[in-house]
Amino acid sequence: MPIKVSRYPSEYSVEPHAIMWRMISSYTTCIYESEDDLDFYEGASFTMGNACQFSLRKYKGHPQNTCTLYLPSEIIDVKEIIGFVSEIVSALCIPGYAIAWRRGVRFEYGKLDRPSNDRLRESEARILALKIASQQQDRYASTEFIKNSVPKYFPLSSIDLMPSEPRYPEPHWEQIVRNVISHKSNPRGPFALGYATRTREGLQVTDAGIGYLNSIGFFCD
Amino acid sequence: MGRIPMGGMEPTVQAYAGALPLGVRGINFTTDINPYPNGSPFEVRWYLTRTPGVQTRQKNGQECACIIADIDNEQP
Repeated sequence: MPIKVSRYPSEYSVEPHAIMWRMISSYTTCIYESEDDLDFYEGASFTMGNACQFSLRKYKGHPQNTCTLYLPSEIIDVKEIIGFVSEIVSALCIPGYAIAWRRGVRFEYGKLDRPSNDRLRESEARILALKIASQQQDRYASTEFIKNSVPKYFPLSSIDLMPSEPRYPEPHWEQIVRNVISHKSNPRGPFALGYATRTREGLQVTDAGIGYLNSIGFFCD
Repeated sequence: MGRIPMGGMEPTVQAYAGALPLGVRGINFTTDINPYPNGSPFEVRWYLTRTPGVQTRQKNGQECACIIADIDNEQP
């Protein structure tokens, strides 16, 4: 289901229903700063389809490298909330291992650990590479530039920083990024899907790639 | 104490869950009043009409939700 993102803070009251171990910048460039009775926050406001509104926020007191998914307070049925959260997670291409907590799962106040299996995988790196390149001149980025930019969008975990066996001592995550560019024939990759073309040193995002990023709310409406 | 949040339906006390990190300005408090069960690991809320034990107060002509709490530490 396509997602639109607004430049402005939501005007409805919200409640938290999931926490991701990701920055808001992983999901959109359309980020504003605002404040409410709780605190100052960075946020982004989305609409999924024609009806479901939601926000991503990181309040000043939230841990670094997390963002919280909020739904309008008027949605109170837990089954409906769980359904919306699943749809939003899928539409924003948030991997399950990035979700540290979601409504319906027990939790302890004041305590939340990053999922132990959370690391950069190729499916997420493919979208990140597109997002990074799409913001550059001519929508082009070299593999090296993408590698240097990934940590601005993705909080590297201890697993990511471990050396890759075949390319010791290169960290594991760098090999994942390199694979995105070099695995040109991968049927789920950006080249086979028509979202990018391979260049000598990296990739260039196509109009179809921009359309895809727009459909997942990466650029302002 | 909390006002009606923007777009909200009723006065609400909102707070971060857990103790303040060292060096961060704010107020640490504890209360025997259970928060409304729609919080997250990072946030807690007490609604005036929906959360047992929450009291009403007036502040600057506005109705507010109020919880009785022990304040452990108030930083300037």
